[in-house]
Amino acid sequence: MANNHDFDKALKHAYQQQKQQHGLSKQALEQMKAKCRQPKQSKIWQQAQWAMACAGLLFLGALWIQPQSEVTHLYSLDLTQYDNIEHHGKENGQYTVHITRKQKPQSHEAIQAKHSELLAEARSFHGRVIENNSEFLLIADCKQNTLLEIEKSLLNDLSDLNLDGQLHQGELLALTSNKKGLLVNLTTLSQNQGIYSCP
Amino acid sequence: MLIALKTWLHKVSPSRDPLEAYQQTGEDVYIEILINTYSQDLFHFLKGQSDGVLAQDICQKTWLTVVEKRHLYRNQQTPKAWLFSIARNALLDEFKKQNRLCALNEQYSDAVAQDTLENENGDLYQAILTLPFLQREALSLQLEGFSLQEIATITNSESETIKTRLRYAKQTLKQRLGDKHGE
Repeated sequence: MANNHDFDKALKHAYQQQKQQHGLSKQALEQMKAKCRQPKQSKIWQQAQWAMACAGLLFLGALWIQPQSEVTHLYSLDLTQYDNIEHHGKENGQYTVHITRKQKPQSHEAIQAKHSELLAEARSFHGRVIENNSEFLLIADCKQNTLLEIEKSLLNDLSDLNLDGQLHQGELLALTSNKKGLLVNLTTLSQNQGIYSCP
Repeated sequence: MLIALKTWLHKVSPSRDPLEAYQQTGEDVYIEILINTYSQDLFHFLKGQSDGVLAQDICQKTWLTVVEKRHLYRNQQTPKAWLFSIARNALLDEFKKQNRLCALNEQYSDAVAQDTLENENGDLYQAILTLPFLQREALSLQLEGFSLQEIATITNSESETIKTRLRYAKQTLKQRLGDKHGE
């Protein structure tokens, strides 16, 4: 047993002695350390690439969202902008139009004259969709400070298009009214003719 | 200068496992401590199983694997045992590439022919190098200070198998050395 112990001791001694005599050089150790440091540097580069990619995505996302918010902001409903508000709807199945004016110190005659002037002639004009909700379509006349409020039930009679799904805020429309001021036609401009601003 | 000071400070507090610290922080200082502490042991073990050039190459690969897969280190293992497991797997992969794995049982170390050993210790070490791969591996790991259980874990073997390999290895060595001294 003591023999075995001595033998193990001799083996260990021989093994350790060889290790000390034929070890790695200092230079080799330094080389290993240097190589182990390199992946970390590339990791920093990888992290930088990820950061740049994320920043790029955020930038693209911001670009994508921004125009929509601008449209919403540009064409949001502001009743103070309009001098006249025309309400187009149906009463007992009959198409009726009511014009509401902003309260200004004007005589009754002057108001009547303006009203008559508005309804005097048939006209074609352009307007931009301000709001499209379940009950009304609000359109701002491009040239006159007039807001048209059109009931949805009437809208279906005026156009063959499926306007409910198509009309988005800011979209341009071509409208035609007769001498009584009643709308007779309504079509979208942007899609058909590539017009994106008031003519 | 600062790194050297930091290294020294970490050396002063040996209670902390540098591999665990490296796993948690990824700081270069810990891998440098590990390289300083274990590279000679790893290299010597690998050299005993192959040759100097391959041993150095595998040693480097081992450290790069540590850098890459430090998150896999578990505290249940000693850092040295984990490093030796990685090194052994890398060596076997290299043998597979070189189609040397099939002959593992009978393979003798390439280092035998290269080292000229003059003293008695040299003879003993030379005799170790002539052992078959698996016996030499088990004996080298024992001489590195690993327990039976640790050797079994490193080599993915049963403890009983390791015991047998060690017994055969020592018997063979005694026989060879006895024969040599008898001549």
